[in-house]
Amino acid sequence: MRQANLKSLRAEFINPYTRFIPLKGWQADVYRMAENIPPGLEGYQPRWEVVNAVILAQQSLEVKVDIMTGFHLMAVLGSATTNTLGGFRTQFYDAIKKRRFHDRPVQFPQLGGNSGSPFFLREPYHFDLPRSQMLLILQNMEIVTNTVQIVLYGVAAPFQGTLSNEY
Amino acid sequence: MIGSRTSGLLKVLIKEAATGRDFIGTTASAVSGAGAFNGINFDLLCGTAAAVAAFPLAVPFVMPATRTYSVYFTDTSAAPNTVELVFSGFKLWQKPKQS
Repeated sequence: MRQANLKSLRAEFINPYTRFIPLKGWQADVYRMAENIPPGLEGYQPRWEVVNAVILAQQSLEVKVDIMTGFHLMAVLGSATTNTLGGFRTQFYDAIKKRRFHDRPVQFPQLGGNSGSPFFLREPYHFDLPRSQMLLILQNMEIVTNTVQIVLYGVAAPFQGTLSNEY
Repeated sequence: MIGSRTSGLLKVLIKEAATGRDFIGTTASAVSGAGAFNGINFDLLCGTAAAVAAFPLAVPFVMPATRTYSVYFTDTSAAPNTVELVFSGFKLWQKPKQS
């Protein structure tokens, strides 16, 4: 059998193997590294919508987050100060479209990654309506108070001189 | 972005000075119960190269020349925290005019 003789990548500015990462279509193109800005997202800025909450033992909490118009949700990350009985569970909604992201609460290690294993959606979720809001229901599974953080990472539309949540 | 820190009990805010643009949104409009805020946890903002956890921004952001970015750190570890935050990217040059 002929021996594999892979091309050296030392002098390559763009790693050709990054093309193995995406699916087809422009939405998945955002995950192509070392390439140009994905079509349609020129001028967009990175944006992290952060929810900090202190949840009492085995209690739940509702949080509404104002979302900028044109925000594309790309990844969810989470952390908790206590994670022995599962940390906390969450359920997400698009409050304006009245759309549930999942049928029942999901434990945060399954829902969101962390810096050790960032968890990107396969396709960005676009909040295209003005005054969009996300509703998060957080449920502490621990028997002690838990300080949690949920981060919604995505890109926001360029500033156009109007309020951030209006056209 | 890539970073390292002594303790993960550290929160960050990033703001563009010229426009006042916030990169970290923290205004939950309604919280039932106790809420708390002062930034994104450092470990959720960027990965560390040491733990093979560095990850890129999914979409590049072009920072205009000479613009200033303010980074606010809030430490809650109650101990000295040595932090390094790296903005890794490419410097862009104008295309030379063709004669």
